[in-house]
Amino acid sequence: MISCIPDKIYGINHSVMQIPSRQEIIRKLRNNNKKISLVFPIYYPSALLRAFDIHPVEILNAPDVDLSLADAHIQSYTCSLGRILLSFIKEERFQNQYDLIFIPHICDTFQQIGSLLVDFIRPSQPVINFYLPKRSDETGISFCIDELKRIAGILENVCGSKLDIKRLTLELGKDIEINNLLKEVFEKREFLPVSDTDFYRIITSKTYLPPDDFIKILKELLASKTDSKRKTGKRIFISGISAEPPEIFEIINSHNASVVFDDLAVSGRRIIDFSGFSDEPFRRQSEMMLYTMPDAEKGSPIEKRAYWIREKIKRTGATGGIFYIMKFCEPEFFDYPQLKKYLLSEGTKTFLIEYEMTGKVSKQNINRIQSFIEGL
Amino acid sequence: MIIKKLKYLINSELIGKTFLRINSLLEKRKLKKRQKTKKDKLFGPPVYSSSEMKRLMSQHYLRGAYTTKKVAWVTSGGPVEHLLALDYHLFYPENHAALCGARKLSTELIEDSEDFSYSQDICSYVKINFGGVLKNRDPIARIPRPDLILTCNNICQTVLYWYRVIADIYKIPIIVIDAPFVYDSVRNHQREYVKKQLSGAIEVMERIAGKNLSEKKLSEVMHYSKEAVSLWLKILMTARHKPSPITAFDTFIHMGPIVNLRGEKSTVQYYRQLLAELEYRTRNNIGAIQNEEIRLLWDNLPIWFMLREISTSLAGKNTNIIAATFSYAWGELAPLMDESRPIDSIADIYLQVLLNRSTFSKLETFKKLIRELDIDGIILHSNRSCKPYSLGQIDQRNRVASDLNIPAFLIEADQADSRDFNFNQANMRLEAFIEEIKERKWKRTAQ
Repeated sequence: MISCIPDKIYGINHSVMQIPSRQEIIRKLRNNNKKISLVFPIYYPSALLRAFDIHPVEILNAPDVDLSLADAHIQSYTCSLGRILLSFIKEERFQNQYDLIFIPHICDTFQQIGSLLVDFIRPSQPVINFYLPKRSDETGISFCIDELKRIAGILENVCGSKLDIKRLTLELGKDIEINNLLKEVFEKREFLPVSDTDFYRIITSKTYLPPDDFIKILKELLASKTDSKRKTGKRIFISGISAEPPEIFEIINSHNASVVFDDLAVSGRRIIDFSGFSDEPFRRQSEMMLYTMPDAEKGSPIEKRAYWIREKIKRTGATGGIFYIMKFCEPEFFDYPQLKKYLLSEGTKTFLIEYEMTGKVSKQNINRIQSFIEGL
Repeated sequence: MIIKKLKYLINSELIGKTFLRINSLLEKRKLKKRQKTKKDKLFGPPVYSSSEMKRLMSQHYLRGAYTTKKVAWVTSGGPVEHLLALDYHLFYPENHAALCGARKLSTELIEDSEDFSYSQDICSYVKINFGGVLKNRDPIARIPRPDLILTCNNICQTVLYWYRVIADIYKIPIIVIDAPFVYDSVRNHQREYVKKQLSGAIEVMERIAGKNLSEKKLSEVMHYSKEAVSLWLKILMTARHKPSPITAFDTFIHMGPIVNLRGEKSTVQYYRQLLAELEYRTRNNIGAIQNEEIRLLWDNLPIWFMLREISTSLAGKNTNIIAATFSYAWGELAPLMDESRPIDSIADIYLQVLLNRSTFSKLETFKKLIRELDIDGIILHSNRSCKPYSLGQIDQRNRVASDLNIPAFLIEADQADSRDFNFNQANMRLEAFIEEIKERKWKRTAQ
């Protein structure tokens, strides 16, 4: 195992600044001849990729990427995440950073980009499209198992080696350990000596850190737990795909509010509240993707989503929520009005912010966040 | 229940049906006698079967308004054969939204749904539907309340998000047929997955219908479905003839029954009538426009609120859009339908609809239609509401231009939301595009 992080992540002032960046991790792994897969968010078989010695790196944002590269293929009414990801793939300077492109079928945009890459753009790296079933019942699970076996076959061809089931089981075990630690971290969120921004940075470092490193960070974070609650001011939650740029948390904090829980697809929604995982590795990998918290991308009923958010509100005492939704992100936009209705019926105010994923939060959105928090 | 049934019989089957029949006859007569205006003179004689199509569709909506049957709302790409065999009344929100768009009644409904926090950027069909549902009103017909909804994401993921909301509003059961996207060819596990879902769905359909599925009835529905789809393909292929007896705009209108009423005998009868009329036109060289010089292919859904304006403008330039990938999508899979293996063939067909296939496969469809119909150019409607149809068009346009030396033109609009569309601007660009095609044709002839 290659460790990519220093022995102690938190300095004297508990700063997370020492967590290496995505680029640093990629560089370090490349220097050690590790294979890297560029992965589109959100649900993908991380353990399966790792069982082939391929390290998955998700891209959530790339503020300095040249978006005009994507504009040559997809229209401007595509979400900025899709445009960023396609531009990232097209940019020459990033092309030696990964060996494989892995695209889970999450929405129409990823579906079309996945197809375009295979059919027209044809990057030098192999592109693997994975169909994530939009139902989490037994029918969905059994399809997912078959789909994963298909993916395993492709990976065997790409890597020139057979899948080692023992290795897959080992990697799945790490993911379960991560899930258990994450559950604890989210539970004890208010007692942890990190700001909302740093908390988000830590949680989302899962998207690119090797699992052993991430486990180390989570353990250290839990060890730093204090006895008193850190959160002050108004208590809110945030929902959406991601909270990019993480500066959004600083803005919330600066207006005397703190985030007590999140319903972000790349963070809180990835928790699996399930303990009866199967021993059969392909089934277990499927369960780990489909039994995460409810969301539109997996086709979960809206009522189920509302229930989960309401339970969290009860536990944390949140009085309001920001739905931070990227422009043109259909799955997230669809659920908002119904969720708003459910939450308002129990006295929780919500507020929708549409944003374009760029390096900064717009002035207009900063003002709107301020007014919302003041009105709580 | 008895009163409801009586109301249905009187309003729909007695008064309504008679009225629609008389209306249809009058309209047919009107079409034949119509004095041509300057604009009309650009076109050939109208398709007389249109009056029958209007009658069929109006009757369907009228029946829906007074129905005593169980009602299912279905996505346009949804497998409906079992529902029909169980005697459900089917309602297609997409078709209804298209009607609202074509009659220029969509803006208010779209804005109504935006009042309920639905984003400006989501599909306009959805917002037309939500506007009606949430404000409990409809400008076209009384929409029957659903007992069950069926969504199949073989046309987009949007329909999955859409129907989840409807299920949540009405608190009714939802059947999801999750059709994996076909990146290259249909794989066995994908087929098995859809089959398993279809089998599971039948139980839900039967439970709500309160009756068991009759194999005989299913076979009959499948038979009519197959026949209607085959006839539809033949209708579309009459465009091979020069001049084409039909325009893509006609096909957008005449596809109403194949979307709403496939599996019904009346649809088969209607398409036979339409085909006969179009064959008569081809035998007698009657074109859909007066002087067909340029033959175009349309990609994506129509701009419903601009059908007349665009067709008139093009006809004025001796240009006919003779076919559309959108209407073709309803016919191309006809050979796959096999009533002796209902579940298997339904799974195969619904997995392979145009929008559930790769961007390359769509390019192949372009090429096929270009060759078969002798197309001079393509208009690709870059439709803000429909990402699976639109993302990919830029590369497809480039490839058509480079591989086949066919000019292709991308027009930005929306299927039913007219708020950001400027016809004059679009028309100017269209004119330039037609000029380019004419120049190419002229050069080819000169050589």
